[in-house]
Parts: sequence; structure tokens; C-alpha cells
Amino acid sequence: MIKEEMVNRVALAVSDTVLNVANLTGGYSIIINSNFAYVDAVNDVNFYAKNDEVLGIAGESGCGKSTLLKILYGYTKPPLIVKKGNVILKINEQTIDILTLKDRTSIWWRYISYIPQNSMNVLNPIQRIREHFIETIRTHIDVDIDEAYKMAREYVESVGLSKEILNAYPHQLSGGMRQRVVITLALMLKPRVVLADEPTTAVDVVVQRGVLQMLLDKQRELRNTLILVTHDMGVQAMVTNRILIMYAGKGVELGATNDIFEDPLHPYTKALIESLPRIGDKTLRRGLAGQPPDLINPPPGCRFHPRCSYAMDICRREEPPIIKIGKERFVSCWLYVKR
Amino acid sequence: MSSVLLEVKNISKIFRYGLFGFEFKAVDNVSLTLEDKPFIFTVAGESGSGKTTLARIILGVHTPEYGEILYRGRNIHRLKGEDLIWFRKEVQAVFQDPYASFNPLKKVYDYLYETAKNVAKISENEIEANIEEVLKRVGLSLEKVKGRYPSEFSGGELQRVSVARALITRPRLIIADEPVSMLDASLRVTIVNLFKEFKDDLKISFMYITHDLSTAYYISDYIAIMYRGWIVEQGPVEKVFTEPLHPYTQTLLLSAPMPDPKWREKWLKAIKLTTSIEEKEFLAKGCKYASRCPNAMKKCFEQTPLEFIVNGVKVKCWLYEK
Ligand SMILES: Nc1ncnc2c1ncn2[C@@H]1O[C@H](COP(=O)(O)OP(=O)(O)OP(=O)(O)O)[C@@H](O)[C@H]1O
Ligand SMILES: Nc1ncnc2c1ncn2[C@@H]1O[C@H](COP(=O)(O)OP(=O)(O)OP(=O)(O)O)[C@@H](O)[C@H]1O
Ligand SMILES: [Mg+2]
Ligand SMILES: [Mg+2]
Repeated sequence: MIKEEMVNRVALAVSDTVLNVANLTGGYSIIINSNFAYVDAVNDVNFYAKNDEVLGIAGESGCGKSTLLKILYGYTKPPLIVKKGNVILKINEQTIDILTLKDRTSIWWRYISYIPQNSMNVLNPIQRIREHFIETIRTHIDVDIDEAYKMAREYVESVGLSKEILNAYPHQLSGGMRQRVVITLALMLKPRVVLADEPTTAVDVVVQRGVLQMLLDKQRELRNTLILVTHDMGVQAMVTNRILIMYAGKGVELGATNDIFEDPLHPYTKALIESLPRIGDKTLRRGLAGQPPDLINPPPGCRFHPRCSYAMDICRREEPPIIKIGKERFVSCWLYVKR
Repeated sequence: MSSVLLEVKNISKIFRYGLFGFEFKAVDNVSLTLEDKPFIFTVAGESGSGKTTLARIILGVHTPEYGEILYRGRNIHRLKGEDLIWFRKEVQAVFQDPYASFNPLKKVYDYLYETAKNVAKISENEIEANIEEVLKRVGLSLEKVKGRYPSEFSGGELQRVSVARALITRPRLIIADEPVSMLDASLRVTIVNLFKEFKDDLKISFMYITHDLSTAYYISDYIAIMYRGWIVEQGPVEKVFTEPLHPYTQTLLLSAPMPDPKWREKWLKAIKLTTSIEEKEFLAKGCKYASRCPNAMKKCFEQTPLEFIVNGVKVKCWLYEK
């Protein structure tokens, strides 16, 4: 069954795909007022990521972006569970499904790495930056401490940071500097896929630009794939090649960044783009009306229908299929189904 | 002559820095004025430049080592008793992380109730009607809020509750410290539109602290840019955005990501970031921006810049010395 679906989905993907995500469904199994409940945070999500690209993921707060990233990394522990789907990673002509892989740590850092949300706080406060690097190197490469330290020094300088920072404790560095350290660590072993979750929130735009530039420089150098989650549409416009738009646990639109901004297809994407204020333009913007859906009880049919000004009968009853519109452009909306 | 609502006069706040134990001025000789008319005053700038510290000083949470703050002509750090209650009613706050502003074990309604009872001193039989009214203002309802805990709200909803709570006391000034940074684009606009609406309808002034320059431009009348404890530039928002004077403001505006891929080429042009531990710069002589400034002159490394007024904009930079 899953195999057959896979064939379908793989057909969507293009030849230089490095990561193929098919029918991915997962969420949180929790207890509320002593009843079991399930937060349907990622539901039947499909997309692919290519070699040498920056793929953005955007969507409302709480729509499931971080959850999706955790599942892609294979970082699934209760209450987060995966119900179905595949995350196929291509490593040197071989393909593996991250979700069925027994020992995921064998691919972490080396082939796929993950920069979690709030990364400025993930460093161990009682360890110097040096120890973080040495430990990471030594779990993957068989070298002694001195050799690892030497590698760390060379590497840190190669990304334009000063060696000095290796001797600092995390709290001695500014938030922006800590973010750069975490990113530097995540990129050290030259992974093919880098998952970055809001790597630059809560810093000023000068620091933000520096952090993003460092990520981009590395991506270009390694010609690998950067998957960047952020709800900051300015950042999406400045750094991504393609964007996946999520709404309430669903992938609703996928396309080239230019197309998403210039000609958004899905009504949610349209509303999102229209809500963005721009410097130099004070005309009134409107946020999306209505409430974000409750993912424990998502609306039937299309999850966006209660807030959609184009909603038709069928939208209230049936989930929309994914429609391919032109090259590498997908949208999941009944408005685009020809009947 | 219109009277003055808030006057911040030469404020400095000294903190001790971490392990090193050296002292530095997180807010360094800052002055600003809010006239007594509905007004949105944005404070933007570098991370760690003292924006939150400044907000806390104005709210009376921190006491400054130097300078004074006058609210309607009265030094807020000397208020006692009735006057203090009056001040807490007049000046309200909204903070960045809505989940951190609410006690997770306390129902959200109770929180509103306490503000109505203890701060606004509303009589018991009018409290509910008051709460209902402020909730309606932010697009929520009593039914939606009653009986629920903070964890049962989305970030955007909770942030709207924070704004509603601030309205209960019918304040004249709301200090909003990064009220939208956790929210997505659409919710951001919803919240800042509320600020604009309250300014126009309820005659409330705002001090809006943010890293989001697009919403800052969108709603504010006036902007101050902070760097390392200094306000390096302040003026009407239109002027500062179209013709930034201070070299730091120029870099800041060039770095703002634009929600339009056409800007990408311009934005991607490399900037140099410092690569060393930055704290030393707090102690540097002369202008704190000199070591990064493309236009730095010898004087900049030796003498603290004075403030010059150019075309209605105040700028703390030797380049503008006549
Ligand atoms: N540990 C958890 N237990 C239960 N529910 C959770 C947990 N973590 C997240 N959720 C819920 O799952 C949904 C998706 O959350 P997620 O963190 O993936 O959103 P997001 O898109 O990353 O949001 P943001 O932009 O605010 O970071 C939300 O409704 C959230 O409340
Ligand atoms: N209670 C404190 N004790 C010591 N140092 C402090 C304290 N509070 C803040 N600081 C330091 O003072 C400086 C200014 O901090 P502040 O939080 O005011 O900056 P900010 O401009 O609000 O930054 P951000 O944009 O990151 O919110 C920082 O270097 C900070 O580490
Ligand atoms: Mg998230
Ligand atoms: Mg702050």
C-alpha cells in the first residue's frame, strides 16, 4: 500500500531530489483532563528538497513547522509520534528511510543536521565552546582530543569567527554569536541536508543578516540543501529558492520563491502575502480573519475553509488533492481542480 | 505649546557584566520626550543595546543610577501611595513572550480580574462588563476566555489577551516590548493595527520596541535607534527611514529583510560582522560604533560624539559637526 503511494509521490519529485517526503503524518499524543487526545500537527505532508537549494517552510504560528522538522530529522520521541509516511534521504546514490532507520544517530551531523528553534539556548552552559566542538568531532571521527581541538580551531577560523570564542562559555557570548556557534557546529561535518528552525528570531536585523549570510555561504560552498523554517516572510524572500507553505498541519502550496510572492495560488498564501507591510508603504494591511484551527479537532474537508473567502460546498466536505500547476508548482485547493 | 507626557532625562543604568564583573552602562545618557498627544514612538536597534532596560526603567522596575523620568512632570521613581497607583493605571506594559507573562497555573480570566480589581480599582459589580469590553476590543470574547488556562490559547490569542489586560486600566501610555516578535506576519499586522486603532480611538500613546522595521514604519510616528546603550539617532519615522543619518542606522536599514524577492541582490551584498567577543566594545573610548564604522575618523576613537540636529533629526555622530 505505502509502496504504491510512494511511486506516485516519487513521480512528483525531480531527479536531483535529495530528500523526498511522502504522506508524512504525525503529531502529539497527549492527555487532557484524563482523556487521550491527539494533536494532528503534520497531516499527509508531501514535498521534496533538491541538491544545492534553500527550501523555505513558512506558515502560521502553531501550524506544525517545528513538528515537521523534528520528524524529518528522525527526532521522534513521545509525545511526538509518527503515524505514517516516508522520509527518504539519498546518501551517495543510496536511499534510506529515516523513519525506519534503527540507528538514526549514524546519519545525524554527518548527513543531516538540525538547528532547533531557540538554538541560542541549546549550548551547555557549563561547558566551554571548545568542548562542544571537540565532543562533536570525536563522536564521528576517530581522533584524539588535541587533534580534534586543532580541527575545531581551523574550522572556526574558516567560517570567519575568531579562535577566541572557543575558550568562552556560552553566557559570555551575545545571542547572535551563540546562534552562529550552533550553526557552525551543525555544519562542521558537511552534512548534505541542514534543517534550521527559526535560526534568527529575536536578534537585530544586522546580526540576522550576518547569521543568514553565513548559512548561505556554507550552503553554496557545500552545494548541499538548507531547509529553513521561519515565519518571517522577509527572510523567506531574501534567502530561499523555493517555499513550502503550511497551514494547520498541511502542506498547502509549494513553488519557486518568486512565484509564491508574485502569484500566490492558495487563498491562505494570498492572505499571508497581502498582510505584509513594507517599508515605504503605509497603506492599511489586514491580518487573516478568524481563529487558527484547533489541531485536536481540525475542521473537516479543507482545513482552511472556515477562514477562506472562496470556500465552496466541496471544501467543507472533502480534503482537496494536491494539484500540479506548471513546473514544480503545487497547490492543494479545490479552486484549481478542473471539473 | 503642548504639554509633555513623558520625559526621559539623561538616564543611565549600570549593570555588572557576568563573570568579569566589570561595570558597563546598559543605558547610557538617554533622553527622549513624548508629547501629550496620541503618538507611537518606536525604539529599535541592536540586540542588547538597552531597549528592554529602558522600558523597565520607564515602568519603574529598574531605578537608574543617573537622570530622571518625569511622567506629567512628576519623577516616577519618587511616587508613593495613591500617586503610585495612579501611575500604574496610566502606564501599562505588554511583553514579548505571552506565555511568560501569564502564570501557567492561573486561569487567564483571573489574571484580568486581578488587574481590574487591584490596579484599575474597578468596583466588583462592574468588573465583568469591563473585561468583556476590553476583550471585544481585541477580537475575543468572555466565553472564549473564561475557565481556560494560558496553555489552551495560541500565542496570538494570548498576546491579544495581554493587550486587553493593558487596556483595563484605561492607560494613557502602553510600553510594548517586542509584542509581536513571536507571532507570524498575519497576527503581527492584527496586533499592530490594534495599536493604531487605540491611538486614534482611545487616544493612547505607545512606546513600541521592536526588531521588525516593517511594522515600525507601518505604525509609528517617531523612531529612536539604539546602539550599545546610546540613542544614536531619533526623529520622525518618515525622515529616518528615507534619509538615515547615523552610519549604524544606515546599516540597520540596509539589513532589514524585505518581503519581496526583488530586493535580494541588494540585501545580499556582504557586510562584515565582528568575529570576536563583543563585550569589550562597551568600554571603548570615543564613539562605541567607531570600530565598525566605515566613516570613522580619528576623532571618533577619542571623543564621545555630541548630538547634532539635522533637519529635525537628532544624531549622535561627529560626521554632522558643523
Ligand atoms: N510537546 C507538545 N505536546 C503537545 N502539543 C504540542 C507539543 N509541541 C507542539 N504542540 C502543538 O502542535 C502544534 C504544532 O506546533 P509546532 O511547534 O510544530 O508549530 P510551529 O509551526 O513550529 O509554530 P511556531 O511558528 O510558533 O514555532 C501546535 O498546535 C502546538 O500547540
Ligand atoms: N539584570 C541585568 N543584570 C546584568 N546585565 C543585564 C541585566 N539586564 C540586562 N543586562 C545586560 O544589559 C544589556 C542591555 O540589555 P537589554 O535587555 O536592555 O537589551 P535589548 O536592547 O532589550 O536587547 P534585545 O534586542 O536582545 O531584547 C545587555 O548586555 C544585557 O546582557
Ligand atoms: Mg516552531
Ligand atoms: Mg529586549
